[in-house]
Amino acid sequence: MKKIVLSALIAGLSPCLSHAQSSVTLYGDIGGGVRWVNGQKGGSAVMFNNNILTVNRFGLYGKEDLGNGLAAVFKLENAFNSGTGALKSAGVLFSQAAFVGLSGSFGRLTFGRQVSASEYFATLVDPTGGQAQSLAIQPNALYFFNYFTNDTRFNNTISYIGHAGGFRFGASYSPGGVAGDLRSGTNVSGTAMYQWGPALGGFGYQKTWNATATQWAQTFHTGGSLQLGPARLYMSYADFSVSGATEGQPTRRDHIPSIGVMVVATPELQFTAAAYYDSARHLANAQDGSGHKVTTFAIAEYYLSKRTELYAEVDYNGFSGAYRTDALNVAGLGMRSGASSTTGVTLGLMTRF
Amino acid sequence: MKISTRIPCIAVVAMLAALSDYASAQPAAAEAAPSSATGTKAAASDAKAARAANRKLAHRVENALARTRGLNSARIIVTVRDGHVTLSGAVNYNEQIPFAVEAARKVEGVIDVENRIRVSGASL
Repeated sequence: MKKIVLSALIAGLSPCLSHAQSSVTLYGDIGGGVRWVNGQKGGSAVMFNNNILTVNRFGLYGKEDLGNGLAAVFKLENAFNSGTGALKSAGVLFSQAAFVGLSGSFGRLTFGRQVSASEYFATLVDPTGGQAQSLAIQPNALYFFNYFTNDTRFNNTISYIGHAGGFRFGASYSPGGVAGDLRSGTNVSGTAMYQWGPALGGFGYQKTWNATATQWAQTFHTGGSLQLGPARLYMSYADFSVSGATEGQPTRRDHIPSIGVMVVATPELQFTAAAYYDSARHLANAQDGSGHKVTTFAIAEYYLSKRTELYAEVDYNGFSGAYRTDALNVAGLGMRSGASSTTGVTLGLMTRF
Repeated sequence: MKISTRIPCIAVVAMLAALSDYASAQPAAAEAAPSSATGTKAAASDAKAARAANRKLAHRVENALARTRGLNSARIIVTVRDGHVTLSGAVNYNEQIPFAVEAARKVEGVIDVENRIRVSGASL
């Protein structure tokens, strides 16, 4: 983490402003390695590992104290492919975050491209922190994201996060901006959680409408975590549904329980493992679209320093019924349509700055 | 699906095994401390009391972290040994780390704080 403190510069340029403390921090992470995976079109493949554990990114975080505990904050965060140098999302420079806001004793109010309140909660009860690159180890991206744009961040979002004692709560709203229609392209989301000693529990909710307000996707999510010795256990349950796009189509419904654990075995060595089970009915809103999906993974991280690590990871995704041909999973995992499983093994190196 | 569900079980069992190894290592170190004059029974109860005190302080530190503004401590792991606090686990962005260390330091009974918090996860 490099700190570029601009306070002296700003003070020099604008002597009329009182002692406002200002800072901008540049941060990020980049990783790469090798990945072997089977169940692909044409069999198994050895490929470049575009840092599966977390998005390759760089970001700028800024804060200016405005007095009385109030501060202006902003965040710009990019994501890129370490193998090619290309943007992760074509044409979107700050795909991970681009927001500005105020933070103070009232909480934090931010405007811009960011996570929904429900995603905010989901990342806190996820053993990997909700930032993994691949569906292979981040299956929950598919039921906390914007179902209609396949985007894990929400554009044009107004978000509030409050904090009182061990209690935290938040709400976010992404207006659609369509005249005469308050539903088109909107997302409404809320969360509340409570932390008491080693335990955390809470819930999140979100509802997203498509651009023409003919279809919605909704997630109810509850979960928590518990610290036991050098480990933190995670548990969560999500109920995801998508209404039929046309009259007569059934509502898709998924029940998704998951468990996970992160163990800090020694200061250098850290293990993470998790399992997600998804029981779905009416995938793609088809009458016969029932199927199951199981995702499991285990990660070992060895830290050469506080910032640099070597990692090894193994993941398994199994599918049955209509899930074997689910378009998003087939595309996201590069699978052969109809394959019943895919297994991957990754070795990598990552450094953070 | 039967075969596939076994994999998470194995992974979780392995993690729990690693965890119990750690847990059993702690009392052994604590028991070694009392002098030979005290009986093994007294040593055992001393170790038990020390463990309880560690747990209690960890709980207080965790509560202090949960109440700290600008910090989200949901993924931090707090371990305590005789007033020495170690913070590990993760926060979602690095500007939160000094808040965590500062808040833990201020808790009564904390002698020092070792910071091993890492940054991982989505930017919130």
